[in-house]
Amino acid sequence: MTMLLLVLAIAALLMLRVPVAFAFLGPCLAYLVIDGQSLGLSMRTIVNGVSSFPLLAVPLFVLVGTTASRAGIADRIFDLALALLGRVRGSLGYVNVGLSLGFSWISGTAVADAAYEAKVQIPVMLSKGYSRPFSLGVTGASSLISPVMPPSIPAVIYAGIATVSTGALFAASVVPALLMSLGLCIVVYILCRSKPELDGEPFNWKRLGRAAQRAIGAMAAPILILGGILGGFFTPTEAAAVGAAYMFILGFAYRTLKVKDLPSIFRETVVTTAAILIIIASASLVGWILAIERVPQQVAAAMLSVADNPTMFLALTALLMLVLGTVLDAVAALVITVPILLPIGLQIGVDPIVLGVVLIVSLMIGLLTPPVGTVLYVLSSATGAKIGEVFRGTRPFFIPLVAVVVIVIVFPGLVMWLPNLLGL
Amino acid sequence: MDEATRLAPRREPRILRWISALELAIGCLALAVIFVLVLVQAAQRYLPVGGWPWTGELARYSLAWLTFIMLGYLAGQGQHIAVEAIDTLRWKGVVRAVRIFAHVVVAAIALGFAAACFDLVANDTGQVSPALEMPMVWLYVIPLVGFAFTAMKSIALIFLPEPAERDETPTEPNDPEVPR
Amino acid sequence: ACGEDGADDAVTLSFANSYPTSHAHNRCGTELVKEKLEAADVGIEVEIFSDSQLGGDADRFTSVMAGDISMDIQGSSALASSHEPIGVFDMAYAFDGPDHLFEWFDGGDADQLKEDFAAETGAHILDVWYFGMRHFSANDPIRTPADLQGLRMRFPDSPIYLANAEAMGAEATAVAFEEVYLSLQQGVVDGQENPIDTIQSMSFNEVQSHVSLTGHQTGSQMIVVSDAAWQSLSSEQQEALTEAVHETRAENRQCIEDDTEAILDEWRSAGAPTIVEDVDLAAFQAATEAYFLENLEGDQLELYESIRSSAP
Ligand code: NA
Ligand code: NA
Repeated sequence: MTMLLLVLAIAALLMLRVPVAFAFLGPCLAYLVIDGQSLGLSMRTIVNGVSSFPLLAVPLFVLVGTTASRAGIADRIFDLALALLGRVRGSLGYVNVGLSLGFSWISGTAVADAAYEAKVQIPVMLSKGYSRPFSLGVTGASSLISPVMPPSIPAVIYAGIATVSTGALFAASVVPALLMSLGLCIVVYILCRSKPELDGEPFNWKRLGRAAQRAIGAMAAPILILGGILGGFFTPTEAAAVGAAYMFILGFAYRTLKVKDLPSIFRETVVTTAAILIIIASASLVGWILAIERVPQQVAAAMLSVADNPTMFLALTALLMLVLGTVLDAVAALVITVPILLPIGLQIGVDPIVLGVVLIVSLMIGLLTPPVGTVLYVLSSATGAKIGEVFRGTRPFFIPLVAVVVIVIVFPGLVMWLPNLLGL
Repeated sequence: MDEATRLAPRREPRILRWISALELAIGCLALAVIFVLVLVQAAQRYLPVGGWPWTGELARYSLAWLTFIMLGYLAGQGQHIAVEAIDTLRWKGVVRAVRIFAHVVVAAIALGFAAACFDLVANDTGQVSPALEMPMVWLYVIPLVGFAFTAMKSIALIFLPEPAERDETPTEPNDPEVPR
Repeated sequence: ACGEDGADDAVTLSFANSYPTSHAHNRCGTELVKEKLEAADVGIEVEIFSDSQLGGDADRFTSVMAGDISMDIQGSSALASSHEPIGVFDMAYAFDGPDHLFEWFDGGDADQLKEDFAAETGAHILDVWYFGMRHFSANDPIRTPADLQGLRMRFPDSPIYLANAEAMGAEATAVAFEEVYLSLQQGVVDGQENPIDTIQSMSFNEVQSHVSLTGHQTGSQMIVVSDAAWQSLSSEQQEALTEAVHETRAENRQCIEDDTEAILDEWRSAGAPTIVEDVDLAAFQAATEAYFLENLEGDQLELYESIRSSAP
């Protein structure tokens, strides 16, 4: 069985409504068995694909979001944000981007951010008259800020494989993450500017004071989580658990959470988590087959035959990552491609830090593209919206995201400015 | 909306409902274990107890157990993530036929992976996990159960009526439930 | 089996590992084995899979046992999950350095271990390569076991590393490898231990002021081959493979040592991190030997005593 047959089988099963995970799992199992590998290999590979420490942040951040939403904590934050922005048209759109930017200093993955915000922000946006596609789109697109802004799990992994300084890569990612946020806000402005129904209520000091008082407990959450990480009390994954514990305490203190709510909070968290992780597990099996068939190496050889300058090379890399990011877990894609791309890049004269930023930003956009963009599925699973609807919603936001990739490729100096400033 | 309808949006025969309840119970237990262990890992640095390297490992395995035990539950509830483009077709007969095909495929794949799990469990290499020193075969027992249940549910779905469209019966993540 | 001769009959061996292509184990390890076997022209082709492309350490070794991967590079603590005694290799100050490691391994006492290992796992140990010495990094110098007091040190999550921590009097704390950099940067943990090239490649030197050359573990890596792959080779091919792996050992060690020296030189000339060389090795060795003699039993104790008694 050739790779082409494998790809066709996966595509056919996907179109015939076989769940994404099973559309990957079935053909891969058949492929490996025909290839003479042991039956257990597929099983071991998918179990290992999800039993990784950084992924523990997924259920925990889903738990934070579910609990916060059930305990009404989200509403308190939004009341405050709305009171702050006053009449600004489309204020919840900006709040959505801004909270992702804030969350990005805590979270290292887009999936956790999207899962959290799907629960916390989308219901409130819908109730305030924002359209479903817009709410889904801005949430999905802004979740990509998390894995770009440090701390970033993909950055740590890239730095480890490419043997570059993690600190320098972290610093290099800050400007692109801020550019992403700015670009998304511009799209929010354009989409909302002719919609007077999205005007906030007039600014009112008394309302702001009341909202601030109600939101003090909620506002302390990022301080607790971020402060905990920056103060050296716990790691980012541990921060997710502490955040969840804090949300329970807050909910019980506000009396908006009852012990009888716990089973349904847990149920919701478990369902969302399992639906996401089984896809990551099955993608890791695809990754194994690609690796053993040396597909990435063939792609790299083809690439080297056309790219002869850094800009061209980075542009092709970004393109390749956009494609790979749709069918592979970002971590798996990095692990497979960096060892092949890095030597080519160095040969052509690309700074490995710039390559890392380009890889990460473009892989992250892949999370938003069908057929298998993970963030689309997270939003679909968390809100019940169809994949197509989520994708339609995210479409306008691709323009700034792709623009950031282009800017980073054309002006690598923007990436290197902060690490150089800090002497990294 | 009352709790009962929320927990069982699809009418399943009693035996399948029991299985769903079991799957959910194990999934929730795994989540609780993850939550507690990660907290413990954070706490043990500040407490005199300390030195439990197995907390991270057990949390990771629990994540795998959570994922695989819930496969059948998600299949039974129609909550697996799928490309639903075909649902928009006008010919309801074709849509129904495709759905039945998908159930057959899922059942076959789940049986294949149940066999893969069985292969691992039956041919114990004696390997133990690094920190817990837990026999590695234990890792695959819950996925074995999960895939076996998935196959059962998918076979049952071939003969059971389809659940209502997602948009009509929002699953509770979509509940416009506002705080009281 | 089809009876045709010539290049068409070549056996293809997959040779997997967890290291980047730039690491000595690939650059002057797997690549050299591949070249040597090509030059030997015995009908063996080697395909290298670096960077954990085929899974993490424990998972890849299971694949070797199942015959899904032909060859791999594995540390002894990972192998100890399948055959407990071999974990002794990674115990603190068991070996006095690479010379001691290689001499003991070639000296005949390792034969029983290799046999038992093959009987229990179905995989064969072809040879041992050197991985560099493990040292501590922290924001304080560590010269004596007493200097470890009050420091939260990150060790890998396995019983052998924990035993090493206890033997040296360190307070071990669990942090996943992926989170070590941030944890050191933010002070969640005070220090960690790894070979110099790992400290450099993971950038731990950016967030630690001191690297103390305690050399508390002689890093060793077994070259393992699956039984299925081994049996598929003719005796001539088996010999060529064994020889290629064994010949590579010295070149590989040279690379590791050169890399380590280059990094240390770079740190010295940069003035950061501070390299602490005046470590009281005798105090560490005495503490760990007393600990292991008291706490080990059975096969592990026997192996430990065999290794220690062969120390130069
Ligand atoms: Na957002
Ligand atoms: Na981040």
